[in-house]
Amino acid sequence: MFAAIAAIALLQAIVVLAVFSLLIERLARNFYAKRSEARLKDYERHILGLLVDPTDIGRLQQAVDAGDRTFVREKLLQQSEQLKGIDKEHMTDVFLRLGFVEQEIGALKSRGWWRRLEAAVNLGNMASQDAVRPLIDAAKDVNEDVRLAAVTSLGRLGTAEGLGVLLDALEDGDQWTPAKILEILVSMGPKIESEILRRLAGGQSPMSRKLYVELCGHLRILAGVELLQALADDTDLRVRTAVAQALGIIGHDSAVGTLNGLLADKECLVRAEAARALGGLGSVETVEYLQQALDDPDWQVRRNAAVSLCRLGPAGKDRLQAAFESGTAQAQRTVAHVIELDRLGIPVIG
Amino acid sequence: MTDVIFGINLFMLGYFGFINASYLCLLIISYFSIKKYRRQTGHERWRQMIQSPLTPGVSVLAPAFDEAATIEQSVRSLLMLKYPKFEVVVVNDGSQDGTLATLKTAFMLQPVPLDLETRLPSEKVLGIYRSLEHPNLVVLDKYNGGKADALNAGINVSSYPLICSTDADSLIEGEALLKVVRPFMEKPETTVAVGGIVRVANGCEIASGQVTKVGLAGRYLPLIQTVEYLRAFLFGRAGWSALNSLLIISGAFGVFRKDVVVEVGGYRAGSVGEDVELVVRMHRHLLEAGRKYEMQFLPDPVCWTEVPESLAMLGRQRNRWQRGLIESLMLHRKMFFNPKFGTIGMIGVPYFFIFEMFAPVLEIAALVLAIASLALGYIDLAFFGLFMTITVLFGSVLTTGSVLLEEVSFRRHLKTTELLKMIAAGFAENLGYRQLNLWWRASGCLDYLRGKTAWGRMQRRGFGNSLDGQTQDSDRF
Repeated sequence: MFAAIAAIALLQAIVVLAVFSLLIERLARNFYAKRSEARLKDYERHILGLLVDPTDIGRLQQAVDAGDRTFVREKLLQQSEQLKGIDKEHMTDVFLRLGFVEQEIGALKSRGWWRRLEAAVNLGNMASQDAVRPLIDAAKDVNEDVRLAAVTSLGRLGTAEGLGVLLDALEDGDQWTPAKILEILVSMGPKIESEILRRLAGGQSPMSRKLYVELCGHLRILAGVELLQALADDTDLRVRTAVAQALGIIGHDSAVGTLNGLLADKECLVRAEAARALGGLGSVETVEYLQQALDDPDWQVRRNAAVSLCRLGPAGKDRLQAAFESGTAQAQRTVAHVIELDRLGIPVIG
Repeated sequence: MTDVIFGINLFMLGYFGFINASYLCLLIISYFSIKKYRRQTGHERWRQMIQSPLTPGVSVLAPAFDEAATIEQSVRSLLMLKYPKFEVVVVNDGSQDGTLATLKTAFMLQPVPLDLETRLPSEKVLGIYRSLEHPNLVVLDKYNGGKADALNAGINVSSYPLICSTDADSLIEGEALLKVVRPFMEKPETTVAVGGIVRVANGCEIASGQVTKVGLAGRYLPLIQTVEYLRAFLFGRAGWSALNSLLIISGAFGVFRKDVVVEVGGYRAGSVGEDVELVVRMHRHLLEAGRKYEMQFLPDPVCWTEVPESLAMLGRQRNRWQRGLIESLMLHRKMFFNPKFGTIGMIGVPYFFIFEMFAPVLEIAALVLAIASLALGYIDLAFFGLFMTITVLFGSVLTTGSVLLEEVSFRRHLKTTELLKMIAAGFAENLGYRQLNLWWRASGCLDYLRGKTAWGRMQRRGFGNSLDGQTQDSDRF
């Protein structure tokens, strides 16, 4: 009986404590939010003024000195997210002048992984070149999330110095980080192209070969077409599929032969991608190959071949009509579907 | 006789002690897991991903059965998802109320010749329609075959490598698809399924197919269910996911790798718990094949659903959920305490067998026994009162814990009064709701034994209007 009473008392205490902490937490949050709103009104025009004159940091320096450091940093980071070009450079200057870059570099050595993660993200947003070396070191952090954040920030900084580390980190097969920084990689232009080609030529693991093939395609590196063609008979299905996709994105005529070869691949995924890519080349030379692909046993290959023929204009559509009249039953179904969508002006999904 | 009753009472006490201890463990695990997730994703710039060509395409599958009242708004909501590459596949599963006609008019649908790849068996497809207004909308018309069958037909017509199962009467938040796809991109080789959280939309303000203001329902039943969903997802699902033993991904919002779903044979036609059954079957198949894989629950990507507001409908829903759970567990009973299936076989499946499948029967038995013991004088009133108080208080600790989790993580309910209402609901659910729920679930057990496989009819008020509709919902928690 005593144990039961004790248990009830304990449970009651837990419930009361939980509700109490919930309310205190809520009140604290609301108080902080209201205070932030009031302070934001004070600082807003100073923050916006910095975009015109980054040296005019007097009022914000006072705020930082008066203990509003975290608040000012958060607001400046929010503002910085929206900026590009000269405005972004001005903001970087402000971060440096107010000591935020230095603070975040220091935070990369914090004990809590989440603080290191936050610092790595913030340094990418602050866009200061001073952060390149510390971020390169952070790319070797024990915590995976910190490593990826550091790599993403290195990508956002877009410097040649961090490129090696950045590409090394992308080789582990993660697609989220490349997707986040692809735009920045594209904007780096020739600076990154030679490095990607060098790595494409010597790619050891299938995942790294796949990565560089994909980057080669998305960055439309024309000089990489030959290397891509050489990888068309790679032993890994994912690499061959990526090769077909990359050749289609680059869209160089010399890829016709290679893509035709991939249309005979044993894996339907590769054949389907090759059929799609051939349409991307826009060459009437591909018409013959695509018509043959309409008889492929795989539905996706037939579908992609029909769509590609449609994209090639009158020459391709003539072949589609011919296949509709005299092709196999499967080909006829696919062709009828694609012709009708074309007539209605609706794109094929996929 | 006294010894027997004493023994049974002791067993029941042990059972309750164990179940509550495991809930507490799950709550603690979930707290750390959600905290970690918030820290990992707090800095994500989701909008940036919307432009990336590297994000995989997703086919959102929305089976619809007699949903003429709500279908237009639901589909418009799905079409507004913020994701770079997706299609919405609405499968009209033999509706008799003009669902297809509504869709045809609302979205300017045009019939196109059939060109399907029959990867999974399904009832006969009558036609495919495409929209002149929305190039990424596909409508499939087929003979009625149930939700699982409709999903299989949707998979056959889908074009992308990931499929997202949803209900035609649920609202998925704008960036939810981006968030739920993240694990598939981070670990493309091993991630096979990811589920999001299902929240209760009753009481929320909805405009243009999106929840614009989160609120609480004023009525008893939806309010209790709001708390129930929060508890089930924030500490139940999150906890099991952290233990890599997630057995349920809600049919209202789950994303799967299509090749794996096709490999295991798709959804089980005729099943009343097709979402649970698919996930358990995927576990079994992948573990038997010795493959490395992950299934995750993410507490952030949100799907809003309307919960039943009448006892009759709620009863039918809970009865069906219980039958679905039993059906899935019995089909895969081979996994029960089987070390070959790792933590799933040794912890996940046994837990669901003992504490979810048998819970209603055991809890009702315990209640009856306790009352009988009291009446016969085997236990005294003070002991009985203490036992009931502990039960109520413990339930409240868990509810308060879930609300606390919500408050420190996602904080959707901005009004302090709403928080207090939710905590109060945690107490109030012990006054009738909990007992009714037990009864519905126990009836589900009986119906399963009788071989009942019907879904039962559900009536919907419809988001933002007062029209009635009927549906095959699966917004289980």
